[in-house]
Amino acid sequence: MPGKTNRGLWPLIMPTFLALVAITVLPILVTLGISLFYVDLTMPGMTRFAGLENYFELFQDSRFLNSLTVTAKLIFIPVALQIVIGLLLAMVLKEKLPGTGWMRMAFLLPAVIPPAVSGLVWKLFIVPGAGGLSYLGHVIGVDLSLDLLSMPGSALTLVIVTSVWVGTPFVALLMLSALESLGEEQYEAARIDGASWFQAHWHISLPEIRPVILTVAVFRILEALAIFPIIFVLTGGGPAGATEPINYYAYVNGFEYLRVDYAATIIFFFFVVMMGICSPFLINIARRESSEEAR
Amino acid sequence: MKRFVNRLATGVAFAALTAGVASAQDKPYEGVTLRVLSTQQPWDTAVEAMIDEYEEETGARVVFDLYAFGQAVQKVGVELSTGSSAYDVFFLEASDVPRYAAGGRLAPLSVMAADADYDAEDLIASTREAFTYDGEIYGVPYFAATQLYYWNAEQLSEAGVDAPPATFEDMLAMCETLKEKGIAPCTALRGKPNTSENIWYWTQIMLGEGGHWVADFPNDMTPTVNSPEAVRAAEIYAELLTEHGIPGSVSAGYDDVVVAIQQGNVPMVVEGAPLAGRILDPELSKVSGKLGFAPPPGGSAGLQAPFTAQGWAVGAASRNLEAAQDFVLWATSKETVKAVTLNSPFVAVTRDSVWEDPDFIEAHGYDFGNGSFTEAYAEALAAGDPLYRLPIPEFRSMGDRVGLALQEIVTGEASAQEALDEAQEDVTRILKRGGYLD
Repeated sequence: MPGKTNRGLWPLIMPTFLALVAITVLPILVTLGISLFYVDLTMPGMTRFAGLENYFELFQDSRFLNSLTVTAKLIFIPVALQIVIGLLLAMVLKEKLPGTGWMRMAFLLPAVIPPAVSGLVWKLFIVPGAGGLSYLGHVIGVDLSLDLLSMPGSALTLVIVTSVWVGTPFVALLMLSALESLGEEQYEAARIDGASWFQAHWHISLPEIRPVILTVAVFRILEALAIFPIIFVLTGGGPAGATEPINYYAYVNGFEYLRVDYAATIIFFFFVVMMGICSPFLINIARRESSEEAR
Repeated sequence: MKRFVNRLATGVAFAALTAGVASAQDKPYEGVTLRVLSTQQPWDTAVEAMIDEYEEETGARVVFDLYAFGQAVQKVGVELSTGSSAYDVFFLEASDVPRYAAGGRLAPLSVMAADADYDAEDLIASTREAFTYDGEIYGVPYFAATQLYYWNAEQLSEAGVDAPPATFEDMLAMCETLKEKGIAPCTALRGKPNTSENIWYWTQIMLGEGGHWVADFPNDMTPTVNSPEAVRAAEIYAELLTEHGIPGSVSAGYDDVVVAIQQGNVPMVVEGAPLAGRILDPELSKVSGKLGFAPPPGGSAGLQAPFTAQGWAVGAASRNLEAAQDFVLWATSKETVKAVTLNSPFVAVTRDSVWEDPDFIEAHGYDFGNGSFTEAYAEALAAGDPLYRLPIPEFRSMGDRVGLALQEIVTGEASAQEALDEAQEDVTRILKRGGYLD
């Protein structure tokens, strides 16, 4: 009966619990509260209760509906690519080939560069006629003076590439530590049975580290929209809203149009959707951890 | 000896005291620190460079926080809407005056009318009115903006073009002709989706074609951003940008347009009149002495030049109201404005007397035989529509929404009619929420 034995520890846990409530639950409740009102910051005293009006407005707002689509693309495509590329990198790094030591350091670089700087680095790289891409084209004799930020498709692709560039190293490191925790005996047995390098990983590594992959995927999904500074610097949400995810649209409403109530509505709606998607996985992860502890 | 020392000390103390009193009288704002939140435009940096003079005269210390234009507008919004007293003087676009004046966030500047030396009547009437809300003036305009047609007469006359286009349709035809003769790109336009970039262009084409933002401001606020005139304007703008514009036009800002004409990369642009000083910068310009100036093209309904004013306002929450008002009046006095224009590329003057000043005309009265800059500027300002930007708080979000639609058209994501129909629905929703429609 762990519940009974731990009951006396509540006074010790309470300060941490209250601090967590103050910095996580309370802001969410305040955001929900604001979203239920009509707030005009420039007109003091004009605040009135609006019920679900702001939520109904969301579904009449084509810019919001577009941002939903962009959000889905900016979450699921980069996370899928990060997992696949990260896993492949981890498999290569595990082999301890010559040079993999410094490669580990090099892979970490994109992860430690602040996102806004990453955005700037990529912007300078692709700026037509003067950037690194044009220079590379000049070196290999091909005209690469492409204005990638002017077309919706290429601008979105560029944001996805940047997101993958920033997020993959972290995924690769987590995958690598999971792979290194597996015993060598299984791989040796597979090699003796004639399995190739790829087959060994496919039939041994993947099933073994599946829980790690799932956990990493869930946390990457939750963090996927942390690329806000990259979008801010690189595309500003354009062109034609092609790279404007939901959090960027909320920012524009809150800080440019001073519509804090609508911004709160967008953010709370997004929170509910993300929790709806990720909760089953998070509950599963929590259950697994507690069952492992019990063992 | 002791008595002498005492007398000397008393004398010194008395002298110091009287000097202090005199100083306090001479320097009325000794010990006051004024904070100015504004943009990194030539006006601001030029006034900042002259600030020693004001500080010496009044004893006040003036601290400038200057941001890039978009960030400045955003920060002003946050500071004023929260009633913050962190800043005393704010940059303000005329179209934002109702947004903050209605809620009492700005301090009235009626003091300027009472100051005979200041001569408020000398401020161009339309710019003064743009800062007036409900009969009270809430800011001092220092920047009168419109657009001009800049053309490289030398380059164009070789191609047989020797006069400015009367309408944007004419400009399109002119660009077609030039393209056939191998002169391309023909022009450069701003393409970013907001009220200061692509909307700044589209509005003038739309008004020129006879369109309007709403059916009948302020009596009937039904939006008309998908009217036939608005759709035609979007098509003209998109064709100029995609078929005849510089590469990267979709995300181009005014800097890109300035560089394009300044470096001789395009033979004509329609761009801000206040940017003439930069376009003709003697150290950078390759077209100085070759350009001609004219009011911007119109449309089938005549010339409807863009118009806006920018100025400085004092926040109602300022703890130094009197000093802040005094500073704003000093900065926009005839003498300071003239000095700013003579020491910087700033030409968007809001004072009639400076426009007529021989020194100003000598410094900025550009005329290379193909149209006078000052005459074109005056003509464009006179044709400026005071409702170019609707004076309502919701205008920024409406404009941005139509700006996105223009980008959809330019990038081929949607036709002009489809994109503006969808924008019409969103603009209707925005105006309903604002209480302008049932």
